[in-house]
Parts: sequence; structure tokens; C-alpha cells
Amino acid sequence: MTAANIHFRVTDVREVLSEVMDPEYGTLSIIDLGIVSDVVVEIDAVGVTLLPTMAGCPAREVIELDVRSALLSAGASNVSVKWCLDGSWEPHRLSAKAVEQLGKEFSIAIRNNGALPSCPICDATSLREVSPVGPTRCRSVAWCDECRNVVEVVG
Amino acid sequence: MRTWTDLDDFQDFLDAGGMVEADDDMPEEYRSEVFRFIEFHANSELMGGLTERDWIPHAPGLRLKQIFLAKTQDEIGHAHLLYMVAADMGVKTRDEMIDDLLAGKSRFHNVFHYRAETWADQIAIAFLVDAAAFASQRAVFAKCTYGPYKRILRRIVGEEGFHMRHGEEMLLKMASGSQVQRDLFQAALERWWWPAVQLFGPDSPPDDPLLKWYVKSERNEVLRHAYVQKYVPLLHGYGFTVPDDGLHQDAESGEWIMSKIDWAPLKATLSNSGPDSERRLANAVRNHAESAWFRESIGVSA
Repeated sequence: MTAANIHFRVTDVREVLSEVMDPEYGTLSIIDLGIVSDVVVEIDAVGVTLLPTMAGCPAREVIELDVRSALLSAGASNVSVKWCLDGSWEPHRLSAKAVEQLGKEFSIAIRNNGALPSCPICDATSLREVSPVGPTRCRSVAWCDECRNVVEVVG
Repeated sequence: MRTWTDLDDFQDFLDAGGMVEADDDMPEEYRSEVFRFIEFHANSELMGGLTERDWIPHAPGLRLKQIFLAKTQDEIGHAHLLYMVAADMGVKTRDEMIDDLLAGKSRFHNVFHYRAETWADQIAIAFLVDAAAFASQRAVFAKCTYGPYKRILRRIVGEEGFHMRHGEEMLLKMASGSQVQRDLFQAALERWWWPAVQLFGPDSPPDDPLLKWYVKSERNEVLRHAYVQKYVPLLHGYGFTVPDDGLHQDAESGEWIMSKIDWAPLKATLSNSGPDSERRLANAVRNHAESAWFRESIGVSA
């Protein structure tokens, strides 16, 4: 049995994971997106449990690969990555930085307890849902009648 | 709403880094050029999505089917967003754009006028064509003075970048596979290399309005050259032959120089008379007719 993880703490693992970026939104980490649900460090293994925004998320495999290689290159050994598929990811798992950046940089708004939020571009309360899905299954498509922009909505 | 006294005044605004918004009183020349550009992009996403969809049943294995399903949703979704912004510009309605596309009256990317014959063609498309489309979209995003389009491009560029990873992974599998797989990819490369290179278009005219108005940030020939510099060594590295007898490396600069490009195939695709244009359009027409019941059920026309 190897003791290679003896210098690793859970906070170290989370720090490594904060450098693992979402494959589509390269400026946001999987920590910011609230995808990391649990981290366990044992002497002979590091376990990470991830929570996809949707069970059928097509980015799962790539994220898993990136998590594994980030931890291995940081010196962890015997890395195990699991996906929790009970559908418990909720928009409140997003960090404040993620909410801010999704809005300002990507024009993606976060639903507020089921209600349409204000427009992330012009702040007016004039979003109107156009279709329940768009380019991805985890976001609906809305139109802002005030600034006339397309906005995608999470949640 | 902002107004400009004339085209020079508008140009000063753009030169100073200004961004045009939907309710601005933009010059008609700008409105119609930007509209045509977005319509072309939307048409291309839709036609591309229909091609990806055709390959879902043929993708080997559940995982690749899932990837192609997600890519199809991405492309059709991108078309949806782009048609919304294009229709808002008030030049054509969404229905008119779809009708014109299906009637063969508008244009879409050259690469969707060719037939994908084998699974290896899909890999060549994912590796070569998606990369060319990504490079060209990224160059539009870099400046793009029309705000509503730039905001959509921010997400499209991120999503297309992710598609490229799948292309690289699938190619690696073929390249490290059996001789049969390598031969299949080589044959596909021979079909797709020139269409991919031509996706960037012929050299930009000196007075290209899209460059002057910073809708595009880079000349076609510059993007094409950069693409060739990147992809020739990659393909050689995997042990494939680029189908260009005149391809050589400049002794001094080390740059890859291609043979003179024959633009006749590109011109044919622009008038919807490419090798597979007719079948592709017929497929799109059939798809549109077969999905009419769904659009009716959710109360939209196109």
C-alpha cells in the first residue's frame, strides 16, 4: 500500500479542482459551478464525487478526465471519480462569482425559485421565455423585450 | 437609441470601439450586411445540425451516439438563437429565412454541400471542419460590433471549442487503430481537406465592409494560412497525407505553402449546386414538413 497521499488534505484537493475549468466556459471552474459534491482523502486513495447539472450532460466524460489528470499531476495517487446521478444539482450551488460571470460574460441568467430573473444584460424585468430548451438541455431560451437580446436561463 | 449623421460619423463611432445595439438607428448598409452574415451563420448551423443528426444511428456505441445527440442539439440550438437575433433586425422574418433556405434561395457554408460517405468522414468533419468553423467564428467574436450577435457568439465559441475535443479524440482513435481504419480516414481526408480550407473563403476584398465595420476581425486569407500552419503538421504527425501535391515548406520561413486553390467548387456551393446540395436541401425540406406537427403543437410557425 502506498502512502503517496500523505501530504494531501481535502482543501488541497479542492484547490486543485478549482483549476479544473468547465470544458465550454473556460473561465469558470467546476468548484464555481458547484459540480464538486464531495472530496475524500485517504492514505491510499483520493475520492471525488461530482454532481452533473443534468444526468445526461455530454461533458461528463471530459470533466472526469480533466479531474483525474489534474489530481494525478498534482501528485495524488489512486484517484477515483464518481458521478452522483440523483439529479440534486440546483442553481444555488453556483458561486457568487459564477452567477456574476455567467450573467455578464455569457448572458446566462439564473432562475429565481422558478421565476424568470431580470435580464443579465440590461437588468430590466422584461424576459419572456421562448423555448424550454436551446443549445443545451440544462438551459431554456428567453428574449429580453427591453434590450432585444437572447438570454439563456439556468434552472 | 443612438443615431449617426452619416456613414463617416458611424465609422468614427466604430473606430473608437463602439458597439451597435438592436434599437440603434444603424445605417441601412450596416444593417443589411450584418443581417446577411447572421442569416448565413444561422442557415449553416441548421444544415450542419441536420447532418450531425443523420449520423446518430450510425455512430458506433452509446457514448458516441450521446455525443452526436448533444452536438445536434447544440447546432440546432445555435440556429434557433441566431434566427431570433436575425429576425429582430427587421430585414426578413424567421419564416421568410426558413422558406428561402428550403427553396434554395439563400446560402450556407460550403462544407454542408458535400456528402459524408463513411463514419471516417464524420471524424474528418469533427476534426477539420469544426476546427475551421471554430477559427472563423472566434475571429468574428474577437471584434463583432453588433452586440446581440456578439453575445450569442460568446457561448457558441465556447461550445464549438468543446466539440473540437471530441474531434481530436475520435481522430486519435482512428490514427492508432487498424490499417483499415487508417485507410478510411485517409480517404475521408482526401474528400474534406479542400472543403475545410475553402471554408475560410477566397481572399478578402480590400474594401470588405465586414472588416471595415469590425464584424470580422481578420482577413480570410490570414485565417486560412494560420489554419494550414496548424493542421498540416498535426495530420503529418498522425501519419496521414495531405491531399495536395504542391504542398511544401518554405525553406526560409518554414511556413507551409499550398498549391493554388481552385475556387470553382466553392462557387458551386454558393449557388447551391455543390455535389450534395440537392439531396441536403431535399432532406431539410422533408425534415421541415415532418416536424410541422410539433411546431403547431407548441404554437410557433418556424
